[in-house]
Amino acid sequence: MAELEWQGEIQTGSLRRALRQALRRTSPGWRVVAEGFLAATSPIDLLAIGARGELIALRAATSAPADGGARLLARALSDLAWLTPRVEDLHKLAPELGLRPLAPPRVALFAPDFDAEVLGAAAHLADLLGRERLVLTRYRALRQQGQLTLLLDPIGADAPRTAAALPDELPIAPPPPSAPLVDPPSPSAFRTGLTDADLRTEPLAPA
Amino acid sequence: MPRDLADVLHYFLPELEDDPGGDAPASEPPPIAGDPDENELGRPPAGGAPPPLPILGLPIGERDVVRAALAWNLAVETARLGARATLIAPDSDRGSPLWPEPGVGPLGCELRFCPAKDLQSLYETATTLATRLAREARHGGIVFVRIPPAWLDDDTTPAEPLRWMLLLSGARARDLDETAGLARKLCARHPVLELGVTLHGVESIAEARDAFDALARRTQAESARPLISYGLLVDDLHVYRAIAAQRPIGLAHPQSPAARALMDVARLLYEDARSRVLG
Repeated sequence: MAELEWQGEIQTGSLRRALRQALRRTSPGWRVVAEGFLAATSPIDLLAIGARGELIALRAATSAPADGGARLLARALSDLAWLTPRVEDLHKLAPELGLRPLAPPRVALFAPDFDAEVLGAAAHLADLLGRERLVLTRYRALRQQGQLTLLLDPIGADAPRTAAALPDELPIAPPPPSAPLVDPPSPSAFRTGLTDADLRTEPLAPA
Repeated sequence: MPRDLADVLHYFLPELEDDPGGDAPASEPPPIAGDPDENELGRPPAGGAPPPLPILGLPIGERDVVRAALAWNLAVETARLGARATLIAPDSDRGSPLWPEPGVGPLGCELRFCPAKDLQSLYETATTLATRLAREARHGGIVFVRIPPAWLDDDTTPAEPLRWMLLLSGARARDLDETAGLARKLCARHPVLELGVTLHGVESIAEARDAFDALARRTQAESARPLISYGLLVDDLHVYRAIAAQRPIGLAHPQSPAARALMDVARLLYEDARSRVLG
């Protein structure tokens, strides 16, 4: 498979495009709604809305981070803190997105690899925050028909756990009970920015 | 009222990135289409050139005036968004009622004919053109390609060319059956193809949503592949008037539901075009 490996530097724009493409296959319920969305101090690579109407911040490293992903993890926590009080405002600004104001935001981090310490810290944080609120995924950059393609490998239960981690069945901060969605997306989500009012036919002018 | 987060992003940040290496708009108008200039199309991109524009295939029959009109209008609306929009059709379409006169048309949208005789050569022309146009398309764009449906049945065509295709489907049961069959065939033959669907001729969003969900479930069950939704289009009288006059609906009847729907579908296509995997 070595001949399929992506050679050379990966540009941020290319990585974002490839990530969007990969997510269409691995997470078809996610809808990417913005790119380069400025958070507290730095832009979030992609902003998506999940299948339950929750906001998801996606950050990706273009190469294996020299710090093992510690900075990426710090930014993820910063994103959660920054986005949480703003979800309701975003919902008001763009009600057609199907954003659920009460759903806590999530973050997803992507890198070729993460250090064991970072994985341990992330696992502990995920226990505290709720399993789905912080997800780390390794990716492998491949060349397919001359184009960048990502193979995603979510890091799950095999991630190192800290001694202080709590059992799965006792999460400290479970997400609030889910309310029924007004506009639940299907696995292949129907998309339109129109409302029924937009389809109302006006009286025709004479030809 | 804002409809999409992208509509309000300027409150928070610079929007989508500009294409790297993008140039100012071309000072000279692009060559008028007729036969594409093979030498010009064949020029290799300069070093550090941006990736080629995405190519969107649209299966449209030789007498399918409505789908052709919708495709042409989608190209016009894509150009209105600031994108470079070019539609390529086989030379056999020349003089047919499917298309207006070739060349640069409304809002810079361009129609070209090419002498392709099969899917492979059609895509080769489209790819060369997409590579060339990318250099002058500061805000990206789309190369729309009219594919004669019979060419999709050619077993000798390599699977490689098709990466992104849009099926324009009616919402009636018979239309959905036909679209599902085509989707099944395309998915089986083109493993990397991303297949999108726009429902046309619908009267409500609920009708389009139900039709799309039914198609998506069926495609998932039959081919284990997701469908991408590209909204809906309506067939009001403005559509047929505009087809008869060969005028873009968005210019002739900008306040009509048909124009609003076209604009919305073009926006979805353009957003996805900018996120194509282009290395």
